[in-house]
Amino acid sequence: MSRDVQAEIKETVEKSPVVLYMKGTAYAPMCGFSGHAIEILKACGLKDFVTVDVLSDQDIRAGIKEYSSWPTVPQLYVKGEFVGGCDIMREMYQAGELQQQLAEFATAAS
Amino acid sequence: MSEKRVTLIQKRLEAAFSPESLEVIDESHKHIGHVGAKGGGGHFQVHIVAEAFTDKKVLERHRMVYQALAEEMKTEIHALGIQAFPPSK
Repeated sequence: MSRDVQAEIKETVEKSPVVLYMKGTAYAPMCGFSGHAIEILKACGLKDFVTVDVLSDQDIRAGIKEYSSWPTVPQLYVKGEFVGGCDIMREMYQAGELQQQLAEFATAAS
Repeated sequence: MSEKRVTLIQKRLEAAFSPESLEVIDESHKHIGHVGAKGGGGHFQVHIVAEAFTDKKVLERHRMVYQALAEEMKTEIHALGIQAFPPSK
């Protein structure tokens, strides 16, 4: 009962440079939007990024919507900062902005 | 039911942004049976062009749409695809 979900989320997104809150896992996304977010991150050359499955933790699922005042999942965090959901990732990717923002975390040539 | 939701979303967005163009598409049928669809909320796509989005970053534009639909996001809408642009684009 004394679980501080907001503090937990803060710790998670600040501990790793790229964190995606999603439904399911990178290997088995449980929602088309989450699956699409994974595809975009891979297209940016990312191999190692942290994913958090909100379906396996109802407290986190509710808490993440409060954390950035954003009503849906997936949610992408880079260096602790909220970047956006699936549509925003796609729009930024198409504009070349997301690749730039993630360039330092990309592994090898994609 | 679905048609009512589309109309409701359209009304909310029209009231909030007086958009130059607005299209709300019900994609709920694509997601029948998937985990998130259990709650009964629908999946929708919104294409909206409005003056209000001028000089706003993408994150801000999407927040504005979510805010206009805050009440519906709690119940009627499970997922919302958003394309929100200023008129010039």
